[in-house]
Amino acid sequence: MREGSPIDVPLLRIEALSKSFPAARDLLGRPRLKVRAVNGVSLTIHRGETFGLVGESGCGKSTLGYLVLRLEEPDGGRVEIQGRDLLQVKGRELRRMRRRFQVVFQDPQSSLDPRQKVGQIVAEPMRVGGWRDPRKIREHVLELLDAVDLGPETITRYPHELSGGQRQRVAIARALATSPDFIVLDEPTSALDVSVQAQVLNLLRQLQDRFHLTYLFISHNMAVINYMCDRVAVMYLGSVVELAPVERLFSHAAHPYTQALLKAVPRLPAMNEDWDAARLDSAALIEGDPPSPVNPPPGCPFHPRCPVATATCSLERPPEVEIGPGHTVACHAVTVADQ
Amino acid sequence: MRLRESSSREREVPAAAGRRAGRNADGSRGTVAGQLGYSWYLLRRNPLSLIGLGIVLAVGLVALAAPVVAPHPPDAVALAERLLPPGPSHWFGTDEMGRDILSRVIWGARVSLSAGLIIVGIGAFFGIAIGSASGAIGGVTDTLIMRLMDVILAFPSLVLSMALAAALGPNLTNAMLAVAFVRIPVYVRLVRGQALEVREKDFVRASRASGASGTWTVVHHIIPNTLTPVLVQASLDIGGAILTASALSFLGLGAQPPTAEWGAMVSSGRRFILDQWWYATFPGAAILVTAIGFNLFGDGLRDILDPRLRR
Amino acid sequence: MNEEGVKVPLLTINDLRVEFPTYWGTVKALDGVTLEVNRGEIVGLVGESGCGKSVTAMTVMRLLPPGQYRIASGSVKLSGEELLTKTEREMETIRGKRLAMVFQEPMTSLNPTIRVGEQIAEVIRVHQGLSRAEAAERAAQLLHSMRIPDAERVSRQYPFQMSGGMRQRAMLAMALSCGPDLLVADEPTTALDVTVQAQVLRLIQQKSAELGTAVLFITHDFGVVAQVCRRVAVMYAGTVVEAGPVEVVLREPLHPYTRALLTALPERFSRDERLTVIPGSVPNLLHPPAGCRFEPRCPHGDEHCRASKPPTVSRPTGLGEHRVACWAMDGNQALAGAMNGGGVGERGR
Repeated sequence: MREGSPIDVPLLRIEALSKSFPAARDLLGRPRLKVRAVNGVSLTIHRGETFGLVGESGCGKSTLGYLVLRLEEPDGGRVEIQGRDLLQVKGRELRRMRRRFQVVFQDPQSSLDPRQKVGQIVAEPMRVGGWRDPRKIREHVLELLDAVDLGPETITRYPHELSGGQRQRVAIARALATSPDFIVLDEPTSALDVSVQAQVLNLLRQLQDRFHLTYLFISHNMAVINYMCDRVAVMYLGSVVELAPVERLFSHAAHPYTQALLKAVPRLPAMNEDWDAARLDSAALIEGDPPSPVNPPPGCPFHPRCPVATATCSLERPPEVEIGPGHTVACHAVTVADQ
Repeated sequence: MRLRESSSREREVPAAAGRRAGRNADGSRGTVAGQLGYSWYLLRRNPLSLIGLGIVLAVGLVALAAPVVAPHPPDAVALAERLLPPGPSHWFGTDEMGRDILSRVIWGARVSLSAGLIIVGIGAFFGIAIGSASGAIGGVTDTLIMRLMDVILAFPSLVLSMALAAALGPNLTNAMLAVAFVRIPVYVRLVRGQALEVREKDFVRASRASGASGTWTVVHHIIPNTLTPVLVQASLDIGGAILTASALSFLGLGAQPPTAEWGAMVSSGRRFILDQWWYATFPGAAILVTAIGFNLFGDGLRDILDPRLRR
Repeated sequence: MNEEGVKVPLLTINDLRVEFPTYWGTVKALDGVTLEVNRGEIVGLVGESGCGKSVTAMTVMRLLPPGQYRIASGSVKLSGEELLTKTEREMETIRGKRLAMVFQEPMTSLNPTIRVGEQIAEVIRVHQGLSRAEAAERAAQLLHSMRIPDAERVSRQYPFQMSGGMRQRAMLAMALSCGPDLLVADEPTTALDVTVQAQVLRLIQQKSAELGTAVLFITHDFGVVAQVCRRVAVMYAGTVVEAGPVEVVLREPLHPYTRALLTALPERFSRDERLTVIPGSVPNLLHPPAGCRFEPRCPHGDEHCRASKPPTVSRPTGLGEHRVACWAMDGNQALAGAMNGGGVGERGR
């Protein structure tokens, strides 16, 4: 939200959410190896805010996004949307509830059915929701397309006739079809060019103001997160390692992983910065690859790559500690005194 | 404040990096005539498939126009003209009942063609139904169904068709059912594989996310997206289906005399092969040419329908 | 390190025009690309999708699918030798030894059924004639020099057993195995995680300095260009619109497209502002504009721009030559005045 601050009514509250996937099965089909995609995550998202979720591959951010919408079944934990326990609802009632929260996927190519025309794609949530009158449906579809800056002639086009940016806008129009309150955006601009990305981001902001939407914005692009989000959570190997208002995260990152992440982003030096000084600082780069979540190490998930790891880090999972207003970190090496 | 002035409305064209051409300047795909023109262009690049198309069309026309094209009625017995070699009044000669073989071959086109289409139609229909359900449901049901299909596929197809046809009673309808039944597992496998792949796509997830039930998703998304490979498989299959139906008739398990059916004619002509070569040869050649025609055309169809090659 | 005019550039692309004949007509993908890479230099080639940067790379490597393209005019010279007229056999001796390429998706450019060490060794054997054992050892050494821990074991692995970053390093090892003069890197880090990308970028820089290998680094990410490249060329719709030393082009861009692109980056904006948007969209390369290809979207375009293609104008700077293809630079006073005074694209309202 740009005008004023978000009202402190939690739209979404998740507690200790976990999800594992079987990586390999034995002869009887029982999982032998498990991928712990999400490992006990708790978060609150307030109405009207844009909440960012950032991390590298394998950190579980996309899975978390799907869990929140119950597109995947969690193994444990609680999801409360607008006060209602999402995990207790079933069948038709669940399907009805789904109208209030929607999703926009990363790849505009695979998120639209190539066999359907744009009009059908955008109308589907309405039809599923019980709308019958074809004229009303068509009218609403045209309204939605207009809201995302697509002309009425788009209605008869197929997805492959559109550009990436246009397809993504169709996906956004579809997400708006049921007038949801909450939208999960899973890397919505990662597959788009810079100039198209700018259009889509502007559009998302505008729609948020107009329709009073709350966003869960998942991305790996720090610049976009910085621009779009109010608060950000950094994920690593299925856990949230740091959570803060966005300005604080970028200026006072406390967790070693967050710091490494910020340093690793190749960026354009600012206008008044010395060019060579802004180049990648070799010494600051962390070694190794993001680990696979198949056998997460005991203790802090980051300790194998952490430059300041101690013995405790390999034994105990660090608790989430609040070190500033709205700023929590899960790291043994950071104490309140440091901040 | 609207973005209308600054963002494009309709002029965004997918950047043509050399390979993704083929659109009107405003991005639309063009008229149906334009699309057909493109399909024609693709076919032209593959001359064999053009030949296939020609054969298929020719056979189809002949079958449709049989009453008009055939010089004699196929059942006209004329014992005075038995076993005549090919000549001006009987281009393909006559059989042991004096019937004109050319006319019988022409009328036989009807039988064979419809047999091929019906067999493939039944196979594809049940294949789609069973395959998409199996792929969408998954789990134990899926496993059971696939193992059942494996069992059917484990039998040599011709032998199984023969056994079924014999069990059902030797006539053309039963032969078609038998051949169709044995073909179903191929389609089930094909569709199920596609269904598994489509199931994971984002647009299916999006459909569920809007509150669609599983059935809706299968009907509206999964099945339409499995059709293309089925179409290609079916077109390639027609040739084989015609062959198999003819084989069953040859063995006496399909069309019964006096029906003018190519396989049955080859069977009858076997006795006369040494001295009256024309009897078995012309129907046999008809089977050969038709099967080849469908196969070649099927290849061309695959190229047209394959979205990657379309570009 | 390289003064203009003192050394002959390693790679010279001059007025390259490449077309793709299709059913609907000819796609004019490259419309006069001119570019140089000096020895040991890392040059960035930046642009959005469809601008022709990959086509340029593939043309240099002569890897475009045969029969589907036509080189309408232009030349590509490696150390003075024209590559466009070489036969496939001649190119085979050049590729791997003097010219190498790494791609964006290492999973599709590495053979999934052959162990990684073996794939690298194959390149070494073909071009350097070493024995199997020698080549295998050299391959392991190369992997080690790419900062891959436990290189011996890794060289016996298959690509699917490796992470994206490791595969990309293996690709680099393969490409650099024979010490090529030029490495063409087509978005080598785009598919990698941020922290891994940083490592691979650093590796490319180090290897380039160590081996003296020049790099043509293709990317869409300006941040990467700023970090790694010494010079940069910006492409739009098949032409190079601006080229020069990285600091000059990114800090004082002259071409309207470069300026607009740089101002569409989220990092430039505070959260209360709207991002600048470039109006319109990329031209259809089947029927590109006759004049400047950017004119339809340019806030300063005029009749002159529509009528004919802008010449490339060059101005010297302390760090090297800065070239721009824009009528506004060529003494078209009215235009130049408007550009200096006016904004760049529509500033978000």
